[in-house]
Amino acid sequence: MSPVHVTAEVLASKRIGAFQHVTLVAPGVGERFRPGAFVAVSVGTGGYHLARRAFWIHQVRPLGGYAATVTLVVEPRGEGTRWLATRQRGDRVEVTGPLGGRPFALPKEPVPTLLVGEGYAAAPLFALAERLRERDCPVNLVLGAPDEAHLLSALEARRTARAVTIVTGDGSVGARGSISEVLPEALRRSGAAVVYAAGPAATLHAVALAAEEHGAWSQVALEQRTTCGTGLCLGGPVPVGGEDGVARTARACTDGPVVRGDRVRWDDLARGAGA
Amino acid sequence: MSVTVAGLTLASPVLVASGCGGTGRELSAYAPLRTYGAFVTRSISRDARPGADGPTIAETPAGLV
Repeated sequence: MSPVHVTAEVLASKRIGAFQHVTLVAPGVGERFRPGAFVAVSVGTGGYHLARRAFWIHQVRPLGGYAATVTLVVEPRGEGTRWLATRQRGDRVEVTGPLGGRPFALPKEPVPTLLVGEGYAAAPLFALAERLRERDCPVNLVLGAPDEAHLLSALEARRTARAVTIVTGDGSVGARGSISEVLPEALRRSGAAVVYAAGPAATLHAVALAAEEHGAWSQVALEQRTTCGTGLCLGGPVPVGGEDGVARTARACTDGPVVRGDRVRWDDLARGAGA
Repeated sequence: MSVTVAGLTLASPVLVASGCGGTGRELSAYAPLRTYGAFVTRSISRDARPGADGPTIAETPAGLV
């Protein structure tokens, strides 16, 4: 994927639960994207928010006469995300993308897969599910969230997946509990050879461990505090370890954002270590 | 637009500051590298050493620190 930097236009913005689904006309971004890619967006006015904000590309589809609009799932939490969530149709937004040196790696053969997503981070999994189905890979889905409002597009998920497990912290939808609690059973039932996951680091760690125990590969989509999102600033370090056992530091946006779960030095990542 | 500084002739007066251009490869997606007069690398040591812990860049109302 070769990123472009464009002035995008907001085509639509729709509130669904706790999230704002923002659809952009961003020429060149959608056409090149692969599942697991993200965009970096400039936010705010007056130049007081120089750090970009990164968002998973949730959907690329024709809309309103445009061939490849890009939809982002935005959870308004801070000033930057609130700014983007309140943009109106016709507003301009500076966007760079598609970004990510390593999006989700697709299997070469048709094997069963398990896709695990928490909260808004489930966003990149739906396009992934489509690509996997095109390759005849059975798709099983686990979606988790603290509550219904933070559960992403469960209805769409059911269309594409062979089996869907939903778990919410408050039990308002699906089973009550956490993703890590339902993982072992989901792995067993799906017989997954590869687990793809997106969500907070603690959940990704749980997926990496469970996958390894089950004998499956894991591909985890890491989220990092973003400054540039392009690999230029070296501000997004991910502690990793190779087969040679040597500890290294990868860059989340160029060496990731998707990495093998068994390569991440999870304890170092949790304590905020760069290396 | 070329300039000569301390006996060094550069194609342009714009240099990529240390730490702002990745390895150079990432920058090439947005403009041809020949556009820049020079690329300044980060500090490089002969022996590998660990990078700094924790976030090294923070956004403030006054800019990026």
